[in-house]
Amino acid sequence: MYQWDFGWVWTYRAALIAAAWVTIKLNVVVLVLGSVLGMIIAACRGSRFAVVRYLAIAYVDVFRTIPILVLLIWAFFCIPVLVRGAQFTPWTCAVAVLSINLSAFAAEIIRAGIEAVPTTLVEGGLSCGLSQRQTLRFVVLPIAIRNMIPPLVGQYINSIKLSVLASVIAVPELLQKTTDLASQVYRPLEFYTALAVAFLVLLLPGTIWSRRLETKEHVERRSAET
Amino acid sequence: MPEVRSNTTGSVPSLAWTGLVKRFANGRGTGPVSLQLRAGQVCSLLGANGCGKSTLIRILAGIDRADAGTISVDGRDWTLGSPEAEGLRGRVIGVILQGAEPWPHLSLLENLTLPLESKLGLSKGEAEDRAAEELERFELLPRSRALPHVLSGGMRQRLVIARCLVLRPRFLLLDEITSALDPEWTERVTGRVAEFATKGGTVVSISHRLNLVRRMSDWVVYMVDGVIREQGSPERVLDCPEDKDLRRFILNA
Repeated sequence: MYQWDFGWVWTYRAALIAAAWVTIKLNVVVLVLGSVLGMIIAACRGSRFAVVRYLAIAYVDVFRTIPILVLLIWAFFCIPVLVRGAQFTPWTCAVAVLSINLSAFAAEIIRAGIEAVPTTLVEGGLSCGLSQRQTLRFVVLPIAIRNMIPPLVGQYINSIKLSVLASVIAVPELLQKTTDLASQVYRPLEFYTALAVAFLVLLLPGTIWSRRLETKEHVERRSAET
Repeated sequence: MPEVRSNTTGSVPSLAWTGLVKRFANGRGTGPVSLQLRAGQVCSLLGANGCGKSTLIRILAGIDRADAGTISVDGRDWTLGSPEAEGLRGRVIGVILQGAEPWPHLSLLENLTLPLESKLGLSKGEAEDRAAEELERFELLPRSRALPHVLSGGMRQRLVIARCLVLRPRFLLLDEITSALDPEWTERVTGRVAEFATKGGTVVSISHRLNLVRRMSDWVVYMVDGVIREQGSPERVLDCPEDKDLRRFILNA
């Protein structure tokens, strides 16, 4: 029987907390940048100009399709070879790739949220003499945001989980530090278990919240349609 | 072109449209349609599903853009989709489209105060007073703070009618507004429309209930494939129809 000894984890708690801090900082930056970028892409998808629309569609399709790990490695190792002098730090690469990946998914969620607003409600705004702008502000956006929140929260959680991939380009975040320490003191079971538990504790509330949002929104919308 | 038959007694028709045409990509559509209505007149549009009644209402409301034709309100021609025409909608021309629903994220009261504040520029207090008054008429006031999804289908339809009438328009474009109402409320809403016309309002209405059409309207238009096939007083059109399609339509109703 394996003899668990979490004392090792406790011993290295300072290094782990520092790594957790990197993970948190990384994710905050990615969530903000990815969301803003997602809104811009979603707006481009609704552009009057066909070229802008198609570029936005291409962006979404490309970055939703390429595996994020491949993109990370490509950005970190290939770009410096292809473009002379373009060597980004691991941090910059991780922020850029994770933000772009999140923005592609977020753009789709935002677009779907707006498109899901029933035409009858939009025309209700116009029927009552509201301008296009007022209809957008008072009718479309409030309903669209309600549609978007549950899938966006889910996507945020997904993005946070994916952020551990930054370890492959040596961003000193949680997984990278954990791997480092586990091999140093030869205690992989304890360290990886601690890491799994840490993510569980951090993200489970969010997961539960997103499910509750989904059911509540779902019930509300269903009863509104009957 | 179908003949433009004038049924106006006054000099200036209050609502008139000439040569309105709308074609969809599939070749179907409406028009050319022309008609003149005077103040206080209630005109009902009859016709089979897909004959272009709703399209005509949507064009008159400025929701859809016609390919050709003009609309005049109180003798003034309005360029379709112009800012002036946009300004009329809601305030002067009340519109209830088919299947209209209340806004689900706003309370009953807010459903009425939003256009009052945004369109008429009333203060919050004024808007709430006026909205409450209108909700009272539709017996919705006790639930004014609730969200519309707690209401029955008929109550939601009443709320949509209230949302239109609270702006006190002078013209009404109504597309099947009694479809979800029980007989009592159908009666009351019909009464409200009649009263509206008595005070000089002009109404264009779509309804498939012929007894309602007969009682409510003083001009009936029968449409086939987007154009007017027959029109006249309700007694003339409904009791002695000339067109054989119309005869079958009435027989089936």
